[in-house]
Amino acid sequence: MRLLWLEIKRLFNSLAFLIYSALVFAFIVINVNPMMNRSLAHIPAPNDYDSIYATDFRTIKTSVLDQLTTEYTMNSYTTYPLGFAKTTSLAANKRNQMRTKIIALRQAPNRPTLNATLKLVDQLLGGHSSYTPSNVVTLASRQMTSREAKHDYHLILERDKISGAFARVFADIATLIVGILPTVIVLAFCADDRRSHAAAAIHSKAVSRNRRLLTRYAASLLVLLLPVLAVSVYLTIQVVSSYPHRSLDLLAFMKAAIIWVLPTLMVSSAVGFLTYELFGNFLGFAGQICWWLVTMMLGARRVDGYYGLLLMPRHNSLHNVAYFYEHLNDLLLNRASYVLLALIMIGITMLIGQIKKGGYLIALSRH
Amino acid sequence: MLYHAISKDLKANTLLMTFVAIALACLLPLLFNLAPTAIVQAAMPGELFVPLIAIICLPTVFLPDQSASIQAVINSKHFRLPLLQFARILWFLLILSLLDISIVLIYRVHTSPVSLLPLLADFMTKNLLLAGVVVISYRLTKNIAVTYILPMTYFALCLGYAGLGSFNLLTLMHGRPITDCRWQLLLLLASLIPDDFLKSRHADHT
Repeated sequence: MRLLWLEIKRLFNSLAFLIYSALVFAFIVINVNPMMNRSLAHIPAPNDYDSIYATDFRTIKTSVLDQLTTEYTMNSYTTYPLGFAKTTSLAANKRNQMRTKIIALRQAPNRPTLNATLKLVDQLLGGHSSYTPSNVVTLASRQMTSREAKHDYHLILERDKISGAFARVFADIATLIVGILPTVIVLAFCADDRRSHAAAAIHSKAVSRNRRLLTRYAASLLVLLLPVLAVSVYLTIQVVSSYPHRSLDLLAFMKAAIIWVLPTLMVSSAVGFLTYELFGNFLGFAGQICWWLVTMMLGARRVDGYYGLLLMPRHNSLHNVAYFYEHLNDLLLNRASYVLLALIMIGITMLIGQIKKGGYLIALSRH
Repeated sequence: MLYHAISKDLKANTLLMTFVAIALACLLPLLFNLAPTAIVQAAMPGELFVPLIAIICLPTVFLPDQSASIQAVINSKHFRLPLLQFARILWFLLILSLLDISIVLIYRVHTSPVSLLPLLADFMTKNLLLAGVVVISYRLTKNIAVTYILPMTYFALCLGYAGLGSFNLLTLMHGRPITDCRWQLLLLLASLIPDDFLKSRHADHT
């Protein structure tokens, strides 16, 4: 416990943590504030209804055909390898095949037939297109009907208790920044020992390598989550002052910080420990930055509700609440998976530490 | 002698990240359309991807000399540490510029209808601006973590926040005029000059 306290103190008193806290606080507040200024006191006017993605067969089919016909006419198709938008053109023989597929789509009587043809369209484009059964809904965006808007508002009042809707946006933004910055802080934290020649003194103490790593990991999580918790308190106060006579969930932001944001923080922090143990330098940041950007780009295609396998699940909307509750289990599974992944990474870090300590690598290299 | 020292330093301290930069650059043809028809598409590699490579590479310029003992050894030579750091920054700027030039040349080979010279100027400005942010972060704090997280947060802010106006890194991708680059260069110069000025004044008094 004393070791944990010492590590927390060391991290907490560093300039890097001070600037990290300021950046995290500013980043979240700047990005969340435009949403916080929107009122959830009344149901929106008909012209202000939010957009949702249609799930009915007819709307999806019409949207797909509209989009595909336009792209076919221009012979310019947008695909998304690793989330980056890329336009491709088809050669004459493939264009003919595409024309056949468009005719087949037009005649598709039901969803399974449509999906089967869409898979062929996607293959023709080399994959990563919008024309996959799972991506195709992104083409069918439409404004909510009056009934859907009323149901959405009902969920905001009854299940979210207003603050939950804001907490989702807060979590969406907070994960973006804690998905990358903690890796650097942890790398610098690890590098400090080498820089100050403290490693020899640390290794002479009666604390096992694994215990030291676990303590450091716990300290990094506790300290690096602090600015996120501080913003969550600040935003809770802001919501309470904006909706004084409403029934609110006062713990909504805290719950979002711990259930939604913490798993991402656990992973980005674990990447720091693992890659420093592996390479002994800041190379892990390059890997994390690539992972972060790919996740950003994949999530950017559907910011108002996309969880899947993303390290940073997206829900940058006060609405689309029905989608959130329908996919809540997916989100929880996603978060639990990343907690597990982070713990596996720390396990691997311990294993690498043991191998290094045992000198197995040197022994192997001499044979 | 100096040339020999600089080339040895570059070989020892920038080679790994140069390979990383080249490896990442190999992803460009897979991720982006290199025959773009619109300026937004054309701007993506140079405004989104190359700056990211810059954020990965540029702070490493300050990594080798984190130990006070190494700084003392280098400063005991007839050249100073800032000279070596300046050479390392120039090296990475050269690599990043070559990447930008390659992208623009590939656009030209594919007879892209986009005006290429302003695009190249826009790409180069981003590298210079990020180099400025990295150098200033390190000069002000002497902290390697801060040297990474400041430009990274700036980049993340540029991706999603529209309120940065002329100082948004994604000028053309966000449909802003290319004249924004002038303001970005001005910001770079304005933030570099007072630092040197203050340093020399301080040196005069001591």
